[in-house]
Parts: sequence; C-alpha cells; structure tokens
Amino acid sequence: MKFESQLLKGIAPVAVLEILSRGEMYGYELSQALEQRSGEILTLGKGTLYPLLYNLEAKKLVKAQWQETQSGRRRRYYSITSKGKSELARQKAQLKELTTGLDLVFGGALTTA
Amino acid sequence: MKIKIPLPAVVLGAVIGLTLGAIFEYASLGEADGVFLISLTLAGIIIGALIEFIRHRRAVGRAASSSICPALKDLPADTVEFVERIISKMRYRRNVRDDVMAELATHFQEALKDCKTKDEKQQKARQLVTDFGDVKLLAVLLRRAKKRCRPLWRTVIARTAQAIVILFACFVVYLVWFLTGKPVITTNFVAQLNQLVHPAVDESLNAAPLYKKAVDLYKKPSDRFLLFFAENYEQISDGSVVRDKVLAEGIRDLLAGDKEPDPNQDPQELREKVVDRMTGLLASKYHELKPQQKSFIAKWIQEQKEALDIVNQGSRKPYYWHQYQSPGEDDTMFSILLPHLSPFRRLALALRSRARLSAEQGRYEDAFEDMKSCYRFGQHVKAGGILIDQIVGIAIEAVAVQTLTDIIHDHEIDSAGLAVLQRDLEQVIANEDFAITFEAERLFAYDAVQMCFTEDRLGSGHLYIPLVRNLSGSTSSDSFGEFIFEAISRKALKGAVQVLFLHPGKKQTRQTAERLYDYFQQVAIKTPAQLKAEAIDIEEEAMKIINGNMLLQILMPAAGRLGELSYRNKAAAEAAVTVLALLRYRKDNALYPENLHELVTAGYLKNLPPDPYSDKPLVYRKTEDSFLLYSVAGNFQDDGGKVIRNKDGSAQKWPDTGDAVFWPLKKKN
Repeated sequence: MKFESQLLKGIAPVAVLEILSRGEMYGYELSQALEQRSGEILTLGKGTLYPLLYNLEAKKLVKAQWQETQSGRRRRYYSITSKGKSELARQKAQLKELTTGLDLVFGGALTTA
Repeated sequence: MKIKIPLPAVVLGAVIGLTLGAIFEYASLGEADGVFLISLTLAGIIIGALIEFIRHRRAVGRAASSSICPALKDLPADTVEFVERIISKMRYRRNVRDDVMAELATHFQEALKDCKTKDEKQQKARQLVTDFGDVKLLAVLLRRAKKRCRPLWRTVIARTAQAIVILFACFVVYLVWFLTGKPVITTNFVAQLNQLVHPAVDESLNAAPLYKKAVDLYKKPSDRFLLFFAENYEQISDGSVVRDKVLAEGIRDLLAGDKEPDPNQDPQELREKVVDRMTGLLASKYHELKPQQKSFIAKWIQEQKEALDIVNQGSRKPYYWHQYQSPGEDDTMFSILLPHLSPFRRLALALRSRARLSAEQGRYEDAFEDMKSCYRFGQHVKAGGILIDQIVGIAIEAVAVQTLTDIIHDHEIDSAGLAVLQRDLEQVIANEDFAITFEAERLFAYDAVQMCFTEDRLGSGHLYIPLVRNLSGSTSSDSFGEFIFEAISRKALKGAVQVLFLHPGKKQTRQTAERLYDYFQQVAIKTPAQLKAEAIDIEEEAMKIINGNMLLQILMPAAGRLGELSYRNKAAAEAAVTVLALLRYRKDNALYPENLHELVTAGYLKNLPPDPYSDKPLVYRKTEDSFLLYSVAGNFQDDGGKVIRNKDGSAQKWPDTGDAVFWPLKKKN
C-alpha cells in the first residue's frame, strides 16, 4: 500500500526512532527493519531514508558512528539519543491520542476493521 | 599515477589560435605588427592546456573516489555511476560528500551481498537504483540534511561568507551603475547668462561693439618702444629691478634676431609685459621720469589715440552687455571665453597714461574727460555680470578715481575746473549700484552641478570624477581606477570614498547652491560695519550652509572680501568728490572748513561721504596747512589717519591696521 507522501513524511521519523529505540542499526538494516516490522506498509523510498536520518542527527535525536565489522566492512550505525527517546515518547503519546480521536470519529471502525 | 602529456588539446588550441591570429592580422592590414598572431596563439595554447588540466583533474577525482570508498569497487558500474551522480550533484564539502558516498556504497553493498551470480547482481542493482529515487531530488535532500548537521560556528561562517558575497555582488552592481553614469546637459546656462545681462533695449545703445573696435585698434608697442624700456629700465624701475632686468634681456634677445628665441617666452606676451610695466611706471614713478622719457611715452600714447577716443565714445553709451560664448558645442559656463578683459585693462591703463600726460601739458579738461570715461568704462565692465567682470570693472574704476586724485594733488586747478569735475563725478556715481551681484555666479554653480553630477537615478545623481577634476585640479585622474590609485598613493582614501559615495547628491547640491547664493545676495548689500555690528561672518555662515559639500566648497567665491571691495570703491569715489569740494572751499574761502557739515551747509557737497567701515561719515580733520580725510578701514577703529606703508614706502590703500587715507597723498618729489 502506498501512503500519501505528506502522511508518510510525518510518521516516518517516529517509526525510525521507534525501531532505533530497540537497538542501533545501520542504514540498510534500518530500511529492511522498517519494511518488515510495518508489514511492508511503510516503504520509504530507500534514498529518502538517509536524508531523514541526517535530519534526525541534526536535531540530535539520533547519533551515528562508523564501525568496522569482523569481515572488514565499514558501516555507519545509528542509535537513539536520550533526547530522541524523549521525543519518541512525546510523539507516541500524540499518535495515541490521534488514534483515539480518529477512532471516536469513525465509531470504532478504525480499530475493528 | 600515469599523467598524460596534455598534447592534443594544446596542439589544437595552438592551431586554432594561430589561424584566428592570422585572420585578425589580415583584417588589421598588418598594422598590428604580429600582436594578434602571437597573443591568440598563446591564448590557444593556454586554453588547450587548461582543458587538459581539467580533464586530468576529473580523472584524478574519479580515481580518488575509488580509493576513498573501497565499497564502490565491488559494485556494478551502473550503481557506481548512480552514487557518483548523486554525490556530484550534492555540491557540498568534499569530506561530507565522501562520507555520504561511503554510506550509500555500503547500502548497495549490503543489499547486493546475497546475490550469487553476476547477472543477478546486475539485475538487482538496477532495481535498487530505480527504487532509490530521483538523483537530483535526493542530492538536494542530502545536501539540506547535511547542512542542518553542521555545527553553529560553521553555519555562522557560511552565512557570513554568503553575506560578504552578496554585499560584494551588490557593490559590483552599484559600481557598474556608478561607472556608467554620465552627466546630462539639459540647460544652456550660457544662454541664461546672456539673457540675464542683456537689457531689453536697442542694440545701438550697447557700448560693447565700440569697446571691441577699440581693442582691435589698440596698437601693439613698437620695437623702438621696447628698446627704450630695455635701455632705461634701471632708471625707471620702481624697486623691481631684477624682474625688469629679465624683461629687458628678453627684449634684447627678441630684437637682436641672431639668437634662438626662448621657447618659453611668447614674443607677444613679452611686448604686453613691457607695456604693462611702462604704463605702471608712468603712474607710480611719474615724477621721476625725464622729459625725454615722458615724451617717448607720449608718442606711444598718441599712437593709441584712435582706440582711446573710441573708448571715450563707448563710455557715453547708456548700456554695455557682452555676448558670452563657449567654444565647441558643450555650451557650459566654465568654457566661456573672456578674452576681452585683459585688453580692457590695457585700454584703461593707456587712458590713465594719457590723462597724466594731458595734465602735465596743462590740458586738465582732456585729462578729466579721459578719467571720467575710464570710470564709466569700469562701470560698464562691472555690468558684465560675472564676478571676474565685476572685479575688473571695480579695478578700472579705482584706476580712474586714483588718477583723478593724483592729478588734483599734483596740479593747481582753479575752482571752476574743480567744480566741473566734481559735478561730473557726482553725476557718474549718482545712480551706481556698488554692491556685488551674485546672480551670474549662481548660474556658474548651477551649471557646475549639472556638469559634475550624473543624471538623477534612484533619486540622486553622484559626482562625476573627470569633471570634478577639471573644476578643482585636485586630481589628475580621469578614470575611476586612477582616481582610487592616486587617492591610495596620497593616503587620502577616506576623502576619495567621501567624494565617490558619501557626497550629497545632485538634487541636494543644487538646493544647497540655491540657498548659498540667496545668502550671498542677501549679505552683499551690507556694509562691512553692518556685518560687524550683526556679527556676521560670511565665510563661516557659507560653510554652515554648504555643510561639507565638496563641490560647492571648490566653487564658493570669497563673497565677504568681494563685498568689501565694492564698498571700498564706493568710499574712494565719494572721498574723491569730497576732496574736490574741500579744495574748492579753500580756494574760495582761503581756508578749509572745520568739519564736513560746513562743507555741506555751504553747498560745496551734497551729502556727507559715508565710511563703510563705520557707517558714519569719513573722518575729516583740518590740519595746519591741509586736511586729513580717511576711512577707519579694516580694524574698524579710528587710528587718527595712520598710514600703513609697504616696504617700498608706498601707502597701503586699505590696511587691516591703521586707516585708509585718501588725503593727503604722498608729497611731490
């Protein structure tokens, strides 16, 4: 399913922060995790993931670090910061309220569908 | 790394340059002397070398990106190109781009690591590239995101640099506007000047054609006249022996004819100098001239009879106006020609000489007629309007008054003769407006504003350097670059910046000029005593009005001193009338009056002569066998008729200390 870009643009950073809150990941791994955990509903254009990550980094919600694997490959790992965690908690609370509100509007149709 | 020799492009550039050079040489018909051939060939070689250099840099860059990012080596060519295109379009700092490239390469490497065959890898790579998104949009998003990541200090530096670039760009735009602006001549101020000085009367009433005729008839001094000076300069020189010796040597060289003429000495100018000296000496050393010398000068004066009689004739005309003209097509006030003033001065001096000689021969009426003509001639020249005309006119009037006074001092003239002279002199000065007028000078200022500013743009024109240079002579630079360079070398950059960018604009300067000349006209009618009483310092007040406007500072006349000059002339003329009345009184009553009131009461004088330095009558004191008549002069104090003398013993006419004594004159030798 393809989401409207504006809707996805608003949700994607929260989704990325949520995934990173469970552990550090590098870009490709993160894109795979996002797809898998959203049941392939949240499919960001692969290229747009990196600008998104850099924006989160600029806001100091995530931090990045190059690491070398045992096989000698270099990967840039992203991890959530404490500021990121706070932001995630705030965003999640807002989403929850939004969902509750929308559910009431739709008469429970959103959660039962 | 193997570096290619940049031969192909260099050779191609040289060939193209050579061909173009040959074409231009042909077009210039060989007048360029091979300049085009050499310069265009060299330019071709340089451009070719540059092309090769850029190619080489690109090749090195590609090799470098592989070395910076080893992950790229394992990727299919399409993917590598895709990543490189994104990175190249990012247009950001190299280290950031390298970082992003390494991350993107890692992304693709991870995505393709499970592919078993080369074909599978190629196919998946194509799919990944397609899914990755638009190169240009991605590059923009990456650049923006990375910009947000940079630290504050780097942002500050970047914004500062951007601001500097923008400011510089604005400066360049301003400079282009500044340098391309030129003044536009919209008003013909020469025509306005002619309109101003031309009264609405018939041309036949104008004295100017007669004066022009007199100038044409004025005889240049003969060789005999020059030789006379050369042989006698030591006897007749009045303290300027060294200067006269040089003049005499110049004359001998000129007349000898066997020597190369001095290229710095114009023969005509030399002759005129001799005449000036001779007529000057005739006035100042009249009593020391031997009869033979006087007779020699009389012969020369006789030669000028026709010219001088025409001046007399012209002086009786009621009007005088000069048709001002400027050469060429520019019609600007600053290029108008005033060739008439110097010959006018010579005619006045010749009249003076003739009057002195006439008086010597007892022909007083002729002498007085010449001097009255001379005075009227001065009045006419004053009416010319522009300041230099007025100054020359005042000087001619002063010559007439001084010569008259000298003659009545040196000769015994009967009461009737004095009465006629007094009556005529009173008539001549009766309706004269002695105050300096600045109306024509105002047109000079307006024309200067028109010439020296570019046409109004964005509400204000700026100064135009080449014409400011012409006016002030403060710089020899025509171009903007030269002007700045000269300012730097003179350590006067601040002043140059002020002239170029901070100087009041055209409209403001014009308005200030209007205010300034209104002020000059307003104070020109005030006597020095009135100015002192009202504590008016004209120069200081003018500087306040100008308020640092450099152009108006350059143009500003010494209005205060000029006003004084006109009032001095008035005082001298009225003093001459008073002296005549006093001499008549004595002849009729065998003694001088006790005061000037007696003179008026007895009907010898119509009014008391005002002293412009006190706004009271001139000071009169009866002495044992004569009288004192003087103005308190520049220090506004009555110093008892104290004469201040120059080093050569001559009296200062208007000293800043002491008094301006009109009578008695220096005693006969």
